[in-house]
Parts: sequence; structure tokens; C-alpha cells
Amino acid sequence: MLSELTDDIILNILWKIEDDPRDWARLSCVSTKLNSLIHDFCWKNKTSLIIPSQLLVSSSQDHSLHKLPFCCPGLVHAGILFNTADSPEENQHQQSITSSSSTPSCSLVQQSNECSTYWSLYDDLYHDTLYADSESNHQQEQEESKENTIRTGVVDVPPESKKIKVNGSLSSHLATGKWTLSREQGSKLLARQFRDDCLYVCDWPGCVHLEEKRKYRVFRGVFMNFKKTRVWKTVNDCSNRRKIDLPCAFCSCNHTWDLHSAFCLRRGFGYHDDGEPVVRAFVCDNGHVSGAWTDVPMYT
Amino acid sequence: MAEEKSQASSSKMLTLKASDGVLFEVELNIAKEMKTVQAYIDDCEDIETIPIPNVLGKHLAIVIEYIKKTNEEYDAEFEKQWNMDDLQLLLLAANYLNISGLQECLCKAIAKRIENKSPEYVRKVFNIENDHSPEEEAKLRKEYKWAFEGVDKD
Repeated sequence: MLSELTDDIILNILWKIEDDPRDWARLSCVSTKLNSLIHDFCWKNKTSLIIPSQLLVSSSQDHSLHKLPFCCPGLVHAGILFNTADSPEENQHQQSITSSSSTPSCSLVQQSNECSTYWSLYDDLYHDTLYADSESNHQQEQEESKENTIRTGVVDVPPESKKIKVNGSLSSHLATGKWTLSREQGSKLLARQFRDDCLYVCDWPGCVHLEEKRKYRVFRGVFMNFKKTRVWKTVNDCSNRRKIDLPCAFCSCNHTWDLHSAFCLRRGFGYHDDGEPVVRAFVCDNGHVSGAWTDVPMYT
Repeated sequence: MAEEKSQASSSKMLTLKASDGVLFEVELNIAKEMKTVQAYIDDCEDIETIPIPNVLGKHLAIVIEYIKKTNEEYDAEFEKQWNMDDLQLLLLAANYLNISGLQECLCKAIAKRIENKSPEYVRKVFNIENDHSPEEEAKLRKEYKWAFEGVDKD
């Protein structure tokens, strides 16, 4: 039946459901015809209204721009639940996460230079449920990890929950707040020496997540021409210890760079009492950024 | 709008012949709401019976009724009576006959019925074959995983 409706009629129907981007996303899965109409016309038109034109022009091949304005990376991809083995105080709170389909006794993080042989968060994100085994505390830090190019870590699920479903607001979902991106927001994030880099971030306050510990304003963004930026040069030149196995929410990159520990973020935001940074951000090789602001702690 | 339709100038009648041979006698000003018919009349001045080859009698009747009664209230209730097949055929008819108001009404109706639905549901109601390769579909589903939360059950 659909084949009898002309493209302009189908587009007329599609435009009537533009308010919720999830509808177009799901309809893209229906057939190749709907996918190409939505990609070539719907997303293109909609993003041209909310993404600055210079960014659109420079990223014409980047399909992730159809997703980035609308999709919050969630606590997972913004690195909020991600603990690396670096800081000693965090080691004590680490819990092992076992995928329901993997052998529980396996060490979650295997020392390896081959991506295919170690567990990564990427694998678990596509299982329906992750179970936190609050009884066991595996030591995640690998002394030999200095040899590794990737910093390993675990998703740190709050100790009070034995089982938690990692979906919904924890991983990617439709963003609340504004869907527009601006360079102004990006410039508030970067340290002064990176002021010539063009980082576009969603407008304030991003997608607000009220968690037990604190409020997170989860944001997403993208660098224009990332490989030509000073940030790229910085993360690339530095020791590879700053690359972590936290996958990008917007493309197929399995690893991202921690901008906080690479000193790319504006100084002075500091840390909370529990060691959590006030602001954090992670960037992938394609320049997609996920992160979160928290409120600056008030010291009495 | 309704008053205009019953003025004296509308006394001339016209016959529309549906694809299955069903005949409809309509007032000229009703027929003129169908831009395709209007163009036909403009081309052939003395025509009395106009063939509508793409539209079944059943649907032409609905279209004519719509033109006579259309207003906000009527439109809101109009689409509820029809199943998806009829909606699509009516939309094809409205498109062929070039009746923009009816087209809009039907597009809105169809859109309302597919919003917040799964791809499987949409394939079923539109009778669409899934021509994505398994790899393509898996890739799209992964990319759009964030969109599948809270979808209506099929």
C-alpha cells in the first residue's frame, strides 16, 4: 500500500509527526524507502533549523548529527557511572558487574592489547539487564595496565541496588531540555588555550538527571573539524592512558578520551568531597562529546 | 462556507463517474472543490459526465460527503470511522482529485495512527515489506536504540 503513496504524500505524513524525533528514528527501521526519505528530507530539514550552518556544512557526511541534538548520552556515556582504577578511594567502592550471559567468575577486565579479548562496557550496554553483584569485590586495577593503550574500568552501580536495569535514563534516551547546539556553550567548557577550537554543545541546562547523590546536567556536543583542533592534538600527544573504554553514544567508537584528565577543560571547577569532578567530558575520535555539569560545591 | 454552497449559482449539476461505474450527481460548486475536476471543466465547457478513473464509488461518496460537510468539528470526527486501508485509499483519491483540505485531514489521521508505534506495527498497517538487510536493520536499531523506550505495545 505504501508503494502507491507518492513520496510527497509520505513526507506530508512524516512531517506531521516531527515533534518527537523518536518516531522518525523508529520509522527509519521500517523499510529502506522510509529510511531514505527520513534521512534525506526529514532529519536534514529539522537539523538545519537547530544546528549552526557552519557545523552542518563541515559535517555533511556525519550522520550522527541527526541524533546528537535529540539524544542524551545518559549517565553511562557521560561517564558518571564509570570508575577507572586510578584513584585509590574509588577502588574501595568498585563493584563487579557481570553480564547475565557471561561467566560470573571471569575477571571482567582482562589485561590485553587486543580489543577482542577484553570485556568492555560496549558489550554490556546491549544486554537488557546488568546485575550488580554486591557480594563480591573484584580488584579491577591491573598493575600491568601501564602497558595497555586503553584505560580499563567498570560501571559502578550504586551499592544499595543489587540489581539494576541499565536502560532508560542511564543509557541513551530522548533528551529533555533544548535541542539546539551553540558554540557559546562549548566555549564555557574548554580551557583558554583551546578557545580557537569550535565545540558546539547543547544549550543549557542540557538533560537534567536528578540522582540521589547530586543533580547532573548531562550534555552532548561535537567539535567542528575535530582532527584539526588543538584538543585533538593534546589528547593524541599525551600518554594513551587518557583513552578509556567508555563507548561514544553517537557513533561506533568504542573508546573515548577523558578531557578532564587531559586538562582540556576550564580550570577551577574542582571536585566534590567524594572525589567526583564538578564537570566531566569525554570525546571520541570523531569529536562527539558527552559529559555532565554538577553544581559547584559550597564550602562553609 | 456551507452557506456559499447552497447559493443559486450552485444549481447546475454535474455527474461524476467512479472507476466502478457508480454515478454521482453533484452541484457544480461541490465538484469545483476537486481541483482536478475543475481543470477538466475548464478544458471542456459543456461536459456533463466526468470520469474519475482512479477512485471507487465507495470512496468518491465519502469524498463528496466530506466536501459538503467539512468544518473543524466534522474533520475531527471524520477520520475515526475509517480503517487504515480506507484512509490510504481516501488519501490517494484526495491526492488525485487535488483536494488539499481533505489531504491534510487524512495525512494528520494517518500520522496519528502511527506515532509512538513499533516498526513492526507500521509495516503491518501499511502492508510494507521489510527490505532492510539483517545487517542494515541491526545497525539502525543500534543507532536508534534510544528511540525504542516507551513505545506502544503492538
